[in-house]
Amino acid sequence: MMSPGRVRSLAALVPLLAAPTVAAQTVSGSAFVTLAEHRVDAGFGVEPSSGVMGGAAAAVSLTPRVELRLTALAGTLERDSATAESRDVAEVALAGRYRAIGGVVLEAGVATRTYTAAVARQRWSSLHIGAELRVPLLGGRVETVGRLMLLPLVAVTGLDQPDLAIAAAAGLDYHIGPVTLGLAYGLERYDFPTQEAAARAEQLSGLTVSARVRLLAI
Amino acid sequence: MRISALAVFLALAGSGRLTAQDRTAEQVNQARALYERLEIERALPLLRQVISPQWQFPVTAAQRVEAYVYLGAAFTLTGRSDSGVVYFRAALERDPFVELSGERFTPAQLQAFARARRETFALAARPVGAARIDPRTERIRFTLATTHGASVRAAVIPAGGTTGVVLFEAATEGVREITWDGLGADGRLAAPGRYELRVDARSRLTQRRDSAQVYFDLGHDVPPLEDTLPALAPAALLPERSGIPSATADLAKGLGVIAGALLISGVLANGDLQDAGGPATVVAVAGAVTGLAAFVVRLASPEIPANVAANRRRLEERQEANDAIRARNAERLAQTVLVITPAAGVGP
Repeated sequence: MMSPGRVRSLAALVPLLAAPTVAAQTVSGSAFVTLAEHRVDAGFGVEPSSGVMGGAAAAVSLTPRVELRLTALAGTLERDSATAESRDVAEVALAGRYRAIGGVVLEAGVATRTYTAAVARQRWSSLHIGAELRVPLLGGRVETVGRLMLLPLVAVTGLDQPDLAIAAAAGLDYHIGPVTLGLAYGLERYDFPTQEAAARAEQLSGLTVSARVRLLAI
Repeated sequence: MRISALAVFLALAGSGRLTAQDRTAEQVNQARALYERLEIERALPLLRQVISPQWQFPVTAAQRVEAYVYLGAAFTLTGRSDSGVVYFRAALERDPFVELSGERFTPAQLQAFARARRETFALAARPVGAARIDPRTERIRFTLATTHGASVRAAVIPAGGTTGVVLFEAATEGVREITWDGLGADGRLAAPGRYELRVDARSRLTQRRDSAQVYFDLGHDVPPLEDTLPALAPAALLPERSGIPSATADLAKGLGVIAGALLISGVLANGDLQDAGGPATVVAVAGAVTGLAAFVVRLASPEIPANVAANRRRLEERQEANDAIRARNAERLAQTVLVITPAAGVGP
């Protein structure tokens, strides 16, 4: 059984960084590194942990407006307090994106994540839906990115469905030739219902640096 | 009864008009028949009547010329060749195209007629008939005639103009046909409008001058042409230079990143978990720096390369489209048929 300080979902944080700009008939790939910080309070005080996670994403545009993206990440979160527990993290996510008007991108997707500690393994499965807003600067050479996702379905081993599950991010994309460098701050928040007189709250935040390149233009 | 009388009166009146119109032709025919039967003395008065100012009936130019010709032939046949020449000259002055057939007239008459030709100088050009001419394969034909050898210059000139295309400039005698390919002096198809065939001639025997004009209207029968695309309106082009508003907008977008990061860190985050929000600060600073940098760059180099390129692309696309339209129109113009219609008067 994993400790109360187990790392929670990163699913809503990663897409912002891995998401390529929706383009016409293109295949793109990206890599990213996240400096993540996790905090959980299961009624015994805040248990922080932090670490580095890395991942990659591939995106294929099916039409000029529709894109599919597959993301995978892995990493380790080391405990920052005596009560916390270190663990490994691995996640796979699939999302569909639709470019609407005015820089708005609608997105829906699923993710499954595994946290492995010395004594137990926990699986998180989630569905997210939301929107992303991209606003160009300097004639499109830079884009500001804002992102808000709701996670209406989150299934966690040994826990009830959270009352509140949201993910948000803000950041910048710098387009330099065929490469796009990204910098973003993301946050996931999960508020679980009270069990045995204790309300469980988890939060994962992180600073992510990403690099994306267009691999193929069809 | 009254109606019947009126009908008879109208019929007689109409009959009378027809008789008057045909009277000259009857008179000329009768004189010619007498001439053919060598009843010269009986033919002469009839012919004189036709050319007389006292002749009450209408006389066409052709009838008058024919009367003069037969008068000349009759006088020559009766040994009065000088008088015959006078009448032949009168005929030639009115119609330089007149010819005497060697099968119908005697050598003496032909000789007198030739003398009349030498002593008279006249030039004429036949009116053009209505025609459709494909300038690629056909030519517009004009016919002119001089009574004897002359230096002739024929040119097609826009009505009211002074310069045109010279079609012929050489010595000639008698009837000559000249052609025009429908091209103007600039080598292009002549523009639609009224034109004048102006012929000037100078006798090589007497140095006398004469001239003739033929007017005609020239039209183009062209397949419908496509319109070229209009010039791009300013609203159709992207702004190529950014000013303070654009710089301010970019700065505001950078500030938006700050606001977004701080909103997530301060409002959406769970305050009970005591997150210091360090990553949010990093992104907020990046947003501020980027916004300020964009602001400065916008002011320092107001040209917007992407928009300049996009506008150039749009202008090039329009140019290519217009070039294609012009090429198609040129193909259609090459199929232009010239429509010739005779015209009277001296210009539009």
